Amino acid sequence: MHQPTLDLAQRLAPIEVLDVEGRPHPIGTLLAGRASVLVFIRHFG
Amino acid sequence: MRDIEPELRRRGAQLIVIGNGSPAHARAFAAEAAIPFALYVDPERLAYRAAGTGKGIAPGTFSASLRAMRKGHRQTATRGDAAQNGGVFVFDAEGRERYRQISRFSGDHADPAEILAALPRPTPAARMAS
Repeated sequence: MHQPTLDLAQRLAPIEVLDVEGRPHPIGTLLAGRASVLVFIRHFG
Repeated sequence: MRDIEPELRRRGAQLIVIGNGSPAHARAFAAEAAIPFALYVDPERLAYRAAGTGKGIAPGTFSASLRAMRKGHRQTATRGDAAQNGGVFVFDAEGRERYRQISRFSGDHADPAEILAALPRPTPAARMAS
């Protein structure tokens, strides 16, 4: 059973990712307030 | 992941996908694959490193590619770093990590049933909105 922790969300929160138009978004704002499935893909294609 | 996206929505959860190419790569991929979820890129792979996803072509990559081809999946032009491994993480609305799967090689995917099991139960509001 995975033990729920806040560590990873806190580490990721300040890191900015870019949307398809190149606009930055801190991951913390993307995850805020909603259950989320965050997927890191190997590559496009 | 596309297959469980409607169920994620029904449960009030969101799917966020991060790639390691450029915004132009993501734009092209979104257009080609007609994806129904939010897509972002992390060109410097800061988030990949923070999440603990590694790099490397591990044993099993080639056989996983063959299995995928037999199921009808076709590799298109690769954009981004092909040696970068991926991962799947489930967070609740308070940011608690409830599930993690880190890929060791291409084709080493998270089990959709495990992802769904890690999500909170659907709220009445989410059920009504679906």
